[in-house]
Amino acid sequence: MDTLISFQNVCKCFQRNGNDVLALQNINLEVKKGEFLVVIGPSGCGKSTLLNMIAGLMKPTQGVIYYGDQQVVSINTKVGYMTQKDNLLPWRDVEGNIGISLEIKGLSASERKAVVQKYIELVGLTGFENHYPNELSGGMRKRVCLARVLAYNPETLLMDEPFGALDAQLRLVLQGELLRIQREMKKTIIFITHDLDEAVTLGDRVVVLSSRPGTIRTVKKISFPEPRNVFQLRYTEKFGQYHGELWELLSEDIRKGEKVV
Amino acid sequence: MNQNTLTSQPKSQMRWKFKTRLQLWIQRLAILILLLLLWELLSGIVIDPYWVSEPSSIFAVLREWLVSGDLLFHVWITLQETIYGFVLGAFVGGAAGIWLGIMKRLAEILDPFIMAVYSLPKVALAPLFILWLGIGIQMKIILAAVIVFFLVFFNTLAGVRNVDKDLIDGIKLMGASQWQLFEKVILPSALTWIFVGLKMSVPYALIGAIVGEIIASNRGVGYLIQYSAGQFDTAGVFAGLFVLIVISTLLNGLIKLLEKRYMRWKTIHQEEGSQNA
Ligand SMILES: Nc1ncnc2c1ncn2[C@@H]1O[C@H](COP(=O)(O)OP(=O)(O)OP(=O)(O)O)[C@@H](O)[C@H]1O
Ligand SMILES: [Mg+2]
Repeated sequence: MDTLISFQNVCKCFQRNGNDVLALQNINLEVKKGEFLVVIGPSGCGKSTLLNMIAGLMKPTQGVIYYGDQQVVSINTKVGYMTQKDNLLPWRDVEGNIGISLEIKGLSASERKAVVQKYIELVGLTGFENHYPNELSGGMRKRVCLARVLAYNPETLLMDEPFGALDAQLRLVLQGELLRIQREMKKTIIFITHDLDEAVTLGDRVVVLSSRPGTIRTVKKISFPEPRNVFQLRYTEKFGQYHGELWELLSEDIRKGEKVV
Repeated sequence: MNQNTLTSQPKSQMRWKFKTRLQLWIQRLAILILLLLLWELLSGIVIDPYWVSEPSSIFAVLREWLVSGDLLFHVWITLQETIYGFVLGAFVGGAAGIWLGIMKRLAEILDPFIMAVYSLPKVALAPLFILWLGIGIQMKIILAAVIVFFLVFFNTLAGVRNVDKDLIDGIKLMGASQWQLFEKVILPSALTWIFVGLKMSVPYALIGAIVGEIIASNRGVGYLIQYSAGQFDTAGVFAGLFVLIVISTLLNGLIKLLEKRYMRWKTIHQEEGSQNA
Protein backbone atom coordinates (compact mmCIF):
# COMPACT_ATOMS: atom_id res chain seq x y z
CA MET A 1 0.00 0.00 0.00
CA ASP A 2 1.12 3.56 -0.72
CA THR A 3 1.98 5.99 1.98
CA LEU A 4 -0.56 8.78 2.25
CA ILE A 5 0.62 10.74 5.27
CA SER A 6 4.12 10.83 6.59
CA PHE A 7 5.69 12.47 9.64
CA GLN A 8 9.41 13.14 9.38
CA ASN A 9 11.21 13.99 12.62
CA VAL A 10 8.27 16.01 13.84
CA CYS A 11 8.46 17.86 17.17
CA LYS A 12 5.78 20.13 18.55
CA CYS A 13 6.51 22.60 21.26
CA PHE A 14 3.97 25.00 22.78
CA GLN A 15 4.85 28.35 24.28
CA ARG A 16 2.98 29.06 27.48
CA ASN A 17 3.82 32.29 29.36
CA GLY A 18 7.42 32.04 28.29
CA ASN A 19 7.68 28.36 29.23
CA ASP A 20 8.14 25.72 26.60
CA VAL A 21 5.87 22.71 26.74
CA LEU A 22 7.21 19.91 24.61
CA ALA A 23 4.15 18.00 23.46
CA LEU A 24 5.53 15.68 20.77
CA GLN A 25 9.07 14.56 20.09
CA ASN A 26 10.74 12.73 17.22
CA ILE A 27 7.64 11.52 15.51
CA ASN A 28 8.37 9.39 12.46
CA LEU A 29 5.30 7.73 11.12
CA GLU A 30 3.88 6.59 7.81
CA VAL A 31 0.14 6.28 7.40
CA LYS A 32 -0.83 4.07 4.50
CA LYS A 33 -3.61 4.78 2.07
CA GLY A 34 -6.77 2.96 3.06
CA GLU A 35 -5.57 1.91 6.47
CA PHE A 36 -7.37 2.23 9.77
CA LEU A 37 -4.78 3.62 12.14
CA VAL A 38 -5.61 3.87 15.83
CA VAL A 39 -3.65 6.09 18.20
CA ILE A 40 -3.63 5.45 21.94
CA GLY A 41 -1.66 7.00 24.76
CA PRO A 42 -2.00 8.66 28.14
CA SER A 43 -4.03 11.85 28.47
CA GLY A 44 -2.06 14.93 27.46
CA CYS A 45 0.56 13.05 25.44
CA GLY A 46 -0.17 14.91 22.22
CA LYS A 47 -2.70 12.80 20.34
CA SER A 48 -5.02 15.67 19.45
CA THR A 49 -1.97 17.74 18.52
CA LEU A 50 -1.00 15.03 16.04
CA LEU A 51 -4.37 15.31 14.27
CA ASN A 52 -4.31 19.12 14.39
CA MET A 53 -1.04 19.05 12.50
CA ILE A 54 -2.34 16.70 9.82
CA ALA A 55 -5.33 19.01 9.37
CA GLY A 56 -2.98 21.95 9.03
CA LEU A 57 -4.44 23.76 12.03
CA MET A 58 -1.07 23.66 13.81
CA LYS A 59 2.44 23.74 12.42
CA PRO A 60 5.17 21.42 13.65
CA THR A 61 7.97 23.19 15.50
CA GLN A 62 10.48 20.92 13.79
CA GLY A 63 10.25 18.43 10.97
CA VAL A 64 7.75 18.15 8.16
CA ILE A 65 4.45 16.42 7.48
CA TYR A 66 3.54 15.26 4.02
CA TYR A 67 0.04 14.58 2.82
CA GLY A 68 0.20 12.77 -0.51
CA ASP A 69 3.18 14.36 -2.18
CA GLN A 70 2.62 17.78 -0.69
CA GLN A 71 3.89 19.24 2.53
CA VAL A 72 1.10 20.32 4.88
CA VAL A 73 1.53 24.04 5.38
CA SER A 74 -2.02 25.33 5.68
CA ILE A 75 -5.60 24.09 6.11
CA ASN A 76 -5.81 20.61 4.58
CA THR A 77 -9.23 20.21 2.99
CA LYS A 78 -8.55 16.62 1.99
CA VAL A 79 -9.33 15.54 5.54
CA GLY A 80 -12.54 15.54 7.51
CA TYR A 81 -11.86 16.23 11.15
CA MET A 82 -14.14 15.12 13.95
CA THR A 83 -12.63 17.00 16.87
CA GLN A 84 -12.58 15.94 20.50
CA LYS A 85 -14.84 18.85 21.45
CA ASP A 86 -17.92 19.03 19.30
CA ASN A 87 -17.96 22.18 17.20
CA LEU A 88 -21.50 22.20 15.85
CA LEU A 89 -22.96 25.50 14.74
CA PRO A 90 -25.43 26.34 17.52
CA TRP A 91 -27.76 28.32 15.25
CA ARG A 92 -28.24 25.43 12.84
CA ASP A 93 -30.44 22.46 13.55
CA VAL A 94 -29.26 18.86 13.17
CA GLU A 95 -30.09 18.77 9.46
CA GLY A 96 -28.42 22.10 8.82
CA ASN A 97 -25.27 21.04 10.62
CA ILE A 98 -24.92 17.71 8.85
CA GLY A 99 -25.58 19.22 5.45
CA ILE A 100 -23.22 22.17 5.72
CA SER A 101 -20.38 20.64 3.73
CA LEU A 102 -22.84 19.84 0.96
CA GLU A 103 -23.98 23.46 0.95
CA ILE A 104 -20.37 24.49 0.57
CA LYS A 105 -20.00 22.13 -2.36
CA GLY A 106 -23.05 23.74 -3.91
CA LEU A 107 -25.53 20.86 -3.85
CA SER A 108 -29.21 21.75 -4.19
CA ALA A 109 -31.56 21.47 -1.24
CA SER A 110 -33.14 18.25 -2.49
CA GLU A 111 -29.80 16.60 -3.17
CA ARG A 112 -28.65 17.55 0.30
CA LYS A 113 -31.79 16.26 1.91
CA ALA A 114 -31.25 12.73 0.62
CA VAL A 115 -27.66 12.50 1.83
CA VAL A 116 -28.43 14.10 5.18
CA GLN A 117 -31.35 11.75 5.76
CA LYS A 118 -29.15 8.74 5.07
CA TYR A 119 -26.61 9.72 7.70
CA ILE A 120 -29.22 10.78 10.23
CA GLU A 121 -30.59 7.27 10.01
CA LEU A 122 -27.11 5.77 10.22
CA VAL A 123 -26.35 7.50 13.53
CA GLY A 124 -29.85 6.86 14.87
CA LEU A 125 -31.10 10.42 15.12
CA THR A 126 -34.30 10.06 13.12
CA GLY A 127 -36.92 12.41 14.56
CA PHE A 128 -34.35 14.93 15.74
CA GLU A 129 -33.76 16.57 12.35
CA ASN A 130 -34.97 19.95 13.51
CA HIS A 131 -33.46 20.03 16.96
CA TYR A 132 -30.79 22.54 17.79
CA PRO A 133 -27.48 21.43 19.36
CA ASN A 134 -28.43 22.83 22.77
CA GLU A 135 -31.48 20.59 22.74
CA LEU A 136 -29.35 17.45 22.36
CA SER A 137 -27.40 15.32 24.82
CA GLY A 138 -23.61 15.13 24.63
CA GLY A 139 -23.70 11.74 22.93
CA MET A 140 -26.29 12.91 20.43
CA ARG A 141 -24.12 15.89 19.54
CA LYS A 142 -21.19 13.56 18.92
CA ARG A 143 -23.37 11.52 16.60
CA VAL A 144 -24.29 14.66 14.67
CA CYS A 145 -20.57 15.37 14.32
CA LEU A 146 -20.04 11.85 13.03
CA ALA A 147 -22.85 12.20 10.51
CA ARG A 148 -21.46 15.56 9.43
CA VAL A 149 -17.97 14.26 8.78
CA LEU A 150 -19.33 11.24 6.91
CA ALA A 151 -21.56 13.46 4.79
CA TYR A 152 -18.50 15.53 3.90
CA ASN A 153 -17.08 12.28 2.57
CA PRO A 154 -13.39 13.18 2.63
CA GLU A 155 -10.52 11.02 1.49
CA THR A 156 -9.16 10.82 5.03
CA LEU A 157 -11.02 10.92 8.33
CA LEU A 158 -9.41 12.24 11.50
CA MET A 159 -11.43 11.17 14.50
CA ASP A 160 -10.62 12.22 18.03
CA GLU A 161 -12.42 9.96 20.51
CA PRO A 162 -15.59 9.95 18.44
CA PHE A 163 -17.42 7.33 20.49
CA GLY A 164 -16.27 8.35 23.96
CA ALA A 165 -19.62 9.73 25.07
CA LEU A 166 -21.77 6.83 23.85
CA ASP A 167 -23.26 3.84 25.64
CA ALA A 168 -21.70 0.43 25.05
CA GLN A 169 -24.33 -0.90 22.63
CA LEU A 170 -24.50 2.15 20.44
CA ARG A 171 -20.73 2.31 20.40
CA LEU A 172 -20.51 -1.22 19.03
CA VAL A 173 -23.10 -0.48 16.38
CA LEU A 174 -21.31 2.62 15.22
CA GLN A 175 -17.93 0.92 15.30
CA GLY A 176 -19.39 -1.67 12.96
CA GLU A 177 -20.79 0.97 10.64
CA LEU A 178 -17.55 2.91 10.55
CA LEU A 179 -15.56 -0.20 9.80
CA ARG A 180 -17.96 -1.14 7.03
CA ILE A 181 -17.78 2.32 5.45
CA GLN A 182 -14.01 2.37 5.75
CA ARG A 183 -13.59 -1.01 4.07
CA GLU A 184 -16.18 -0.34 1.36
CA MET A 185 -14.95 3.10 0.41
CA LYS A 186 -11.26 2.47 1.13
CA LYS A 187 -11.00 5.49 3.42
CA THR A 188 -7.93 6.28 5.42
CA ILE A 189 -8.83 6.80 9.06
CA ILE A 190 -6.75 8.03 11.96
CA PHE A 191 -8.68 7.33 15.08
CA ILE A 192 -7.85 8.33 18.67
CA THR A 193 -9.31 6.39 21.56
CA HIS A 194 -8.72 5.61 25.23
CA ASP A 195 -10.56 2.33 24.93
CA LEU A 196 -8.28 -0.64 24.23
CA ASP A 197 -11.18 -2.84 23.12
CA GLU A 198 -12.03 -0.23 20.54
CA ALA A 199 -8.40 0.05 19.45
CA VAL A 200 -8.09 -3.69 18.86
CA THR A 201 -11.51 -4.00 17.23
CA LEU A 202 -10.95 -1.25 14.65
CA GLY A 203 -7.24 -0.85 14.08
CA ASP A 204 -5.17 -2.27 11.27
CA ARG A 205 -2.31 -0.82 13.26
CA VAL A 206 -2.25 0.74 16.70
CA VAL A 207 0.23 3.50 17.51
CA VAL A 208 1.11 3.60 21.21
CA LEU A 209 2.39 6.97 22.40
CA SER A 210 4.36 7.51 25.58
CA SER A 211 3.35 10.13 28.12
CA ARG A 212 4.45 13.72 27.52
CA PRO A 213 6.63 14.51 25.69
CA GLY A 214 4.85 12.10 23.39
CA THR A 215 7.05 9.74 21.42
CA ILE A 216 6.06 6.66 19.49
CA ARG A 217 6.56 3.72 21.81
CA THR A 218 5.42 1.01 19.43
CA VAL A 219 3.32 0.50 16.37
CA LYS A 220 1.36 -2.70 16.79
CA LYS A 221 -0.04 -4.53 13.78
CA ILE A 222 -3.48 -6.05 14.32
CA SER A 223 -4.82 -8.66 11.97
CA PHE A 224 -8.06 -10.60 12.04
CA PRO A 225 -9.81 -12.54 9.32
CA GLU A 226 -11.95 -10.16 7.28
CA PRO A 227 -14.67 -9.07 7.45
CA ARG A 228 -14.33 -8.28 11.13
CA ASN A 229 -17.40 -8.71 13.25
CA VAL A 230 -17.26 -6.10 15.98
CA PHE A 231 -19.69 -8.05 18.16
CA GLN A 232 -17.82 -11.34 18.16
CA LEU A 233 -14.22 -10.30 17.77
CA ARG A 234 -13.84 -9.65 21.47
CA TYR A 235 -14.48 -13.25 22.36
CA THR A 236 -11.61 -14.59 20.28
CA GLU A 237 -8.31 -15.60 21.83
CA LYS A 238 -6.30 -13.35 19.55
CA PHE A 239 -8.28 -10.33 20.72
CA GLY A 240 -7.32 -11.03 24.30
CA GLN A 241 -3.68 -11.33 23.34
CA TYR A 242 -3.60 -8.00 21.51
CA HIS A 243 -5.46 -6.37 24.34
CA GLY A 244 -2.97 -7.71 26.88
CA GLU A 245 0.04 -6.54 24.90
CA LEU A 246 -1.32 -3.04 24.47
CA TRP A 247 -2.24 -2.92 28.13
CA GLU A 248 1.33 -3.82 29.07
CA LEU A 249 2.74 -1.08 26.86
CA LEU A 250 0.42 1.53 28.32
CA SER A 251 0.75 0.52 31.93
CA GLU A 252 4.48 1.23 31.95
CA ASP A 253 3.49 4.84 31.64
CA ILE A 254 0.80 4.58 34.23
CA ARG A 255 3.31 3.25 36.77
CA LYS A 256 5.70 6.01 35.87
CA GLY A 257 2.91 8.55 36.22
CA GLU A 258 2.08 7.36 39.73
CA LYS A 259 5.64 7.87 40.86
CA VAL A 260 5.66 11.46 39.68
CA VAL A 261 2.44 12.21 41.54
CA MET B 1 -42.62 14.49 13.50
CA ASN B 2 -42.03 15.11 17.20
CA GLN B 3 -39.91 18.16 16.76
CA ASN B 4 -41.56 19.99 19.60
CA THR B 5 -41.18 17.39 22.29
CA LEU B 6 -39.02 19.68 24.36
CA THR B 7 -41.16 22.78 24.22
CA SER B 8 -44.70 21.46 24.21
CA GLN B 9 -46.44 20.56 27.42
CA PRO B 10 -49.46 18.52 28.34
CA LYS B 11 -52.73 20.42 28.24
CA SER B 12 -53.42 20.38 31.95
CA GLN B 13 -50.07 21.91 32.68
CA MET B 14 -50.66 24.61 30.14
CA ARG B 15 -54.01 25.46 31.65
CA TRP B 16 -52.39 25.65 35.05
CA LYS B 17 -49.76 27.99 33.72
CA PHE B 18 -52.39 30.18 32.13
CA LYS B 19 -54.23 30.38 35.43
CA THR B 20 -51.19 31.47 37.41
CA ARG B 21 -50.37 34.05 34.78
CA LEU B 22 -53.89 35.39 34.89
CA GLN B 23 -53.62 35.66 38.65
CA LEU B 24 -50.34 37.49 38.30
CA TRP B 25 -51.88 40.07 36.01
CA ILE B 26 -54.91 40.53 38.27
CA GLN B 27 -52.59 41.19 41.18
CA ARG B 28 -50.58 43.70 39.19
CA LEU B 29 -53.74 45.47 38.05
CA ALA B 30 -55.00 45.62 41.64
CA ILE B 31 -51.81 47.30 42.79
CA LEU B 32 -52.02 49.83 39.97
CA ILE B 33 -55.62 50.73 40.78
CA LEU B 34 -54.81 50.96 44.45
CA LEU B 35 -51.91 53.33 43.83
CA LEU B 36 -53.93 55.55 41.50
CA LEU B 37 -56.79 55.66 43.99
CA LEU B 38 -54.46 56.55 46.83
CA TRP B 39 -52.83 59.24 44.73
CA GLU B 40 -56.20 60.71 43.80
CA LEU B 41 -57.49 60.67 47.39
CA LEU B 42 -54.34 62.10 48.96
CA SER B 43 -54.10 64.78 46.32
CA GLY B 44 -54.99 68.11 47.85
CA ILE B 45 -54.53 66.71 51.39
CA VAL B 46 -50.95 65.45 51.51
CA ILE B 47 -49.80 65.92 47.92
CA ASP B 48 -49.88 69.38 46.36
CA PRO B 49 -51.62 69.03 42.98
CA TYR B 50 -49.76 72.09 41.73
CA TRP B 51 -46.51 70.12 41.71
CA VAL B 52 -47.65 66.55 41.23
CA SER B 53 -51.12 66.87 39.71
CA GLU B 54 -53.62 64.03 40.15
CA PRO B 55 -54.77 61.09 38.04
CA SER B 56 -58.12 62.60 37.13
CA SER B 57 -56.61 65.79 35.71
CA ILE B 58 -53.89 63.84 33.89
CA PHE B 59 -56.56 61.68 32.38
CA ALA B 60 -58.53 64.75 31.38
CA VAL B 61 -55.50 66.21 29.59
CA LEU B 62 -54.89 62.94 27.80
CA ARG B 63 -58.49 62.86 26.62
CA GLU B 64 -58.31 66.42 25.45
CA TRP B 65 -55.15 65.68 23.42
CA LEU B 66 -56.72 62.60 22.00
CA VAL B 67 -59.91 64.34 20.93
CA SER B 68 -58.10 67.31 19.38
CA GLY B 69 -55.80 65.02 17.41
CA ASP B 70 -52.71 66.54 19.07
CA LEU B 71 -51.75 63.28 20.70
CA LEU B 72 -51.57 61.30 17.49
CA PHE B 73 -49.73 64.10 15.71
CA HIS B 74 -46.99 64.45 18.31
CA VAL B 75 -46.63 60.70 18.97
CA TRP B 76 -46.25 60.13 15.24
CA ILE B 77 -43.48 62.74 15.02
CA THR B 78 -41.58 61.18 17.91
CA LEU B 79 -42.04 57.69 16.54
CA GLN B 80 -40.74 58.71 13.15
CA GLU B 81 -37.65 60.30 14.67
CA THR B 82 -37.02 57.23 16.80
CA ILE B 83 -37.51 54.71 14.03
CA TYR B 84 -35.56 56.57 11.35
CA GLY B 85 -32.78 57.32 13.81
CA PHE B 86 -32.68 53.72 14.91
CA VAL B 87 -32.64 52.28 11.42
CA LEU B 88 -30.00 54.70 10.20
CA GLY B 89 -27.75 54.22 13.22
CA ALA B 90 -28.22 50.45 13.22
CA PHE B 91 -27.37 50.04 9.54
CA VAL B 92 -24.33 52.24 9.55
CA GLY B 93 -23.18 50.89 12.93
CA GLY B 94 -23.68 47.28 11.90
CA ALA B 95 -21.90 47.73 8.58
CA ALA B 96 -19.00 49.58 10.20
CA GLY B 97 -18.76 46.94 12.93
CA ILE B 98 -18.60 44.09 10.45
CA TRP B 99 -16.13 45.92 8.25
CA LEU B 100 -13.72 46.78 11.07
CA GLY B 101 -14.22 43.35 12.59
CA ILE B 102 -12.83 41.82 9.43
CA MET B 103 -10.16 44.47 8.77
CA LYS B 104 -8.27 43.77 11.96
CA ARG B 105 -5.30 45.96 11.17
CA LEU B 106 -7.43 48.96 10.26
CA ALA B 107 -9.45 48.54 13.45
CA GLU B 108 -6.26 48.60 15.47
CA ILE B 109 -5.09 51.80 13.80
CA LEU B 110 -8.44 53.54 14.23
CA ASP B 111 -9.03 52.34 17.77
CA PRO B 112 -7.96 55.51 19.68
CA PHE B 113 -9.97 57.73 17.36
CA ILE B 114 -13.06 55.62 17.75
CA MET B 115 -12.69 55.59 21.52
CA ALA B 116 -12.25 59.37 21.57
CA VAL B 117 -15.49 59.95 19.72
CA TYR B 118 -17.22 57.27 21.76
CA SER B 119 -16.25 58.87 25.07
CA LEU B 120 -17.98 62.08 24.05
CA PRO B 121 -21.49 62.35 25.56
CA LYS B 122 -23.46 62.23 22.33
CA VAL B 123 -26.17 64.58 23.60
CA ALA B 124 -23.58 67.35 23.61
CA LEU B 125 -23.62 67.17 19.82
CA ALA B 126 -27.21 68.46 19.72
CA PRO B 127 -26.31 72.16 19.35
CA LEU B 128 -24.02 71.31 16.45
CA PHE B 129 -26.76 69.35 14.71
CA ILE B 130 -29.17 72.26 15.24
CA LEU B 131 -26.64 74.51 13.61
CA TRP B 132 -26.32 72.20 10.64
CA LEU B 133 -29.87 70.95 10.22
CA GLY B 134 -32.15 73.39 12.00
CA ILE B 135 -34.73 72.39 14.60
CA GLY B 136 -36.73 70.08 12.35
CA ILE B 137 -37.12 66.33 12.46
CA GLN B 138 -33.74 65.68 10.76
CA MET B 139 -31.77 66.91 13.73
CA LYS B 140 -33.52 64.47 16.08
CA ILE B 141 -33.03 61.64 13.64
CA ILE B 142 -29.31 62.30 13.46
CA LEU B 143 -29.00 62.65 17.23
CA ALA B 144 -30.78 59.34 17.78
CA ALA B 145 -28.77 57.71 14.98
CA VAL B 146 -25.42 58.76 16.46
CA ILE B 147 -26.31 57.26 19.84
CA VAL B 148 -27.58 54.05 18.23
CA PHE B 149 -24.56 53.88 15.93
CA PHE B 150 -22.06 53.39 18.73
CA LEU B 151 -24.10 50.83 20.61
CA VAL B 152 -24.64 48.70 17.50
CA PHE B 153 -21.11 49.31 16.22
CA PHE B 154 -19.36 48.10 19.37
CA ASN B 155 -21.60 45.09 19.78
CA THR B 156 -21.17 44.08 16.16
CA LEU B 157 -17.41 44.52 16.37
CA ALA B 158 -17.25 42.38 19.50
CA GLY B 159 -19.50 39.80 17.85
CA VAL B 160 -17.30 39.49 14.77
CA ARG B 161 -14.17 39.33 16.90
CA ASN B 162 -15.52 36.72 19.25
CA VAL B 163 -16.47 34.08 16.73
CA ASP B 164 -15.34 30.71 18.08
CA LYS B 165 -12.07 29.82 16.38
CA ASP B 166 -13.00 26.13 16.35
CA LEU B 167 -16.12 26.88 14.31
CA ILE B 168 -14.05 28.81 11.79
CA ASP B 169 -11.46 26.02 11.55
CA GLY B 170 -14.19 23.43 11.15
CA ILE B 171 -15.74 25.13 8.17
CA LYS B 172 -12.42 26.03 6.57
CA LEU B 173 -11.52 22.35 6.64
CA MET B 174 -14.63 21.67 4.59
CA GLY B 175 -13.23 23.92 1.89
CA ALA B 176 -15.36 27.01 2.47
CA SER B 177 -14.53 30.15 0.52
CA GLN B 178 -14.01 33.48 2.28
CA TRP B 179 -17.55 34.52 1.48
CA GLN B 180 -19.01 31.22 2.71
CA LEU B 181 -16.98 31.55 5.89
CA PHE B 182 -18.48 34.98 6.42
CA GLU B 183 -22.02 34.03 5.51
CA LYS B 184 -22.20 30.66 7.29
CA VAL B 185 -20.17 31.29 10.43
CA ILE B 186 -19.07 34.85 11.12
CA LEU B 187 -22.34 36.63 10.42
CA PRO B 188 -24.70 34.18 12.18
CA SER B 189 -22.36 33.98 15.14
CA ALA B 190 -22.09 37.75 15.39
CA LEU B 191 -25.85 38.05 15.01
CA THR B 192 -26.50 37.28 18.66
CA TRP B 193 -24.25 40.14 19.66
CA ILE B 194 -25.70 42.41 17.01
CA PHE B 195 -29.14 41.63 18.34
CA VAL B 196 -28.09 42.58 21.87
CA GLY B 197 -26.85 45.89 20.48
CA LEU B 198 -30.09 46.46 18.57
CA LYS B 199 -32.19 45.61 21.59
CA MET B 200 -30.21 47.92 23.84
CA SER B 201 -30.39 50.79 21.43
CA VAL B 202 -34.17 50.97 20.95
CA PRO B 203 -34.72 52.89 24.21
CA TYR B 204 -31.66 55.02 23.41
CA ALA B 205 -33.11 55.98 20.04
CA LEU B 206 -36.16 57.22 21.92
CA ILE B 207 -33.92 59.11 24.34
CA GLY B 208 -32.14 60.77 21.42
CA ALA B 209 -35.43 61.85 19.86
CA ILE B 210 -36.89 63.14 23.12
CA VAL B 211 -33.76 65.01 24.18
CA GLY B 212 -33.62 66.61 20.76
CA GLU B 213 -37.25 67.68 21.07
CA ILE B 214 -36.76 69.08 24.54
CA ILE B 215 -33.74 71.10 23.48
CA ALA B 216 -35.30 72.66 20.43
CA SER B 217 -38.52 71.91 18.57
CA ASN B 218 -42.13 72.73 18.09
CA ARG B 219 -43.55 69.24 17.85
CA GLY B 220 -43.18 65.74 19.30
CA VAL B 221 -43.86 64.25 22.74
CA GLY B 222 -40.71 65.84 24.15
CA TYR B 223 -41.99 69.19 23.00
CA LEU B 224 -45.37 68.49 24.65
CA ILE B 225 -43.64 67.86 27.97
CA GLN B 226 -41.36 70.85 27.63
CA TYR B 227 -44.22 73.11 26.59
CA SER B 228 -46.51 71.94 29.43
CA ALA B 229 -43.75 72.51 31.95
CA GLY B 230 -43.25 76.01 30.56
CA GLN B 231 -46.96 76.68 31.17
CA PHE B 232 -46.72 75.27 34.73
CA ASP B 233 -49.19 72.63 33.58
CA THR B 234 -48.12 69.68 35.74
CA ALA B 235 -50.95 67.51 34.51
CA GLY B 236 -49.69 68.03 30.97
CA VAL B 237 -46.16 67.02 31.97
CA PHE B 238 -47.38 63.83 33.61
CA ALA B 239 -49.62 63.07 30.65
CA GLY B 240 -46.59 63.43 28.37
CA LEU B 241 -44.54 61.12 30.57
CA PHE B 242 -47.34 58.58 30.54
CA VAL B 243 -47.41 58.64 26.76
CA LEU B 244 -43.65 58.05 26.73
CA ILE B 245 -43.99 55.05 29.01
CA VAL B 246 -46.56 53.56 26.68
CA ILE B 247 -44.40 54.16 23.59
CA SER B 248 -41.24 52.65 25.07
CA THR B 249 -43.09 49.66 26.52
CA LEU B 250 -44.61 48.92 23.13
CA LEU B 251 -41.24 49.23 21.39
CA ASN B 252 -39.60 46.89 23.88
CA GLY B 253 -42.44 44.40 23.50
CA LEU B 254 -41.96 44.44 19.74
CA ILE B 255 -38.24 43.71 20.10
CA LYS B 256 -38.94 40.84 22.49
CA LEU B 257 -41.35 39.35 20.00
CA LEU B 258 -38.84 39.56 17.16
CA GLU B 259 -36.13 38.03 19.31
CA LYS B 260 -38.33 35.10 20.27
CA ARG B 261 -39.01 34.49 16.65
CA TYR B 262 -35.54 34.73 15.18
CA MET B 263 -33.34 33.54 18.01
CA ARG B 264 -35.12 30.30 18.73
CA TRP B 265 -31.91 28.32 19.10
CA LYS B 266 -30.77 30.71 21.79
CA THR B 267 -33.94 31.25 23.78
CA ILE B 268 -35.26 27.72 24.06
CA HIS B 269 -33.85 27.09 27.48
CA GLN B 270 -34.57 30.49 28.87
CA GLU B 271 -38.22 30.57 27.97
CA GLU B 272 -39.48 28.83 31.06
CA GLY B 273 -37.71 31.16 33.45
CA SER B 274 -38.19 34.38 31.57
CA GLN B 275 -41.93 34.49 31.98
CA ASN B 276 -41.62 35.87 35.46
CA ALA B 277 -38.92 38.30 34.54
N1 LIG C 1 -2.90 25.32 22.12
C1 LIG C 1 -2.08 24.85 23.08
N2 LIG C 1 -1.29 25.71 23.75
C2 LIG C 1 -0.46 25.26 24.71
N3 LIG C 1 -0.34 23.97 25.05
C3 LIG C 1 -1.10 23.07 24.41
C4 LIG C 1 -2.01 23.46 23.38
N4 LIG C 1 -2.63 22.36 22.91
C5 LIG C 1 -2.13 21.34 23.61
N5 LIG C 1 -1.21 21.75 24.50
C6 LIG C 1 -0.43 20.90 25.41
O1 LIG C 1 0.10 19.84 24.64
C7 LIG C 1 -0.02 18.62 25.31
C8 LIG C 1 -0.74 17.62 24.44
O2 LIG C 1 -2.07 18.03 24.22
P1 LIG C 1 -3.12 17.16 23.43
O3 LIG C 1 -4.41 17.90 23.42
O4 LIG C 1 -2.56 16.83 22.10
O5 LIG C 1 -3.23 15.87 24.33
P2 LIG C 1 -4.09 14.55 24.09
O6 LIG C 1 -3.15 13.42 23.95
O7 LIG C 1 -5.08 14.76 23.02
O8 LIG C 1 -4.82 14.39 25.50
P3 LIG C 1 -6.30 13.82 25.80
O9 LIG C 1 -6.23 12.36 25.66
O10 LIG C 1 -6.53 14.23 27.21
O11 LIG C 1 -7.21 14.47 24.84
C9 LIG C 1 -0.74 18.90 26.61
O12 LIG C 1 0.22 18.88 27.65
C10 LIG C 1 -1.30 20.28 26.46
O13 LIG C 1 -1.19 20.96 27.66
MG1 LIG D 1 -7.04 15.03 22.94
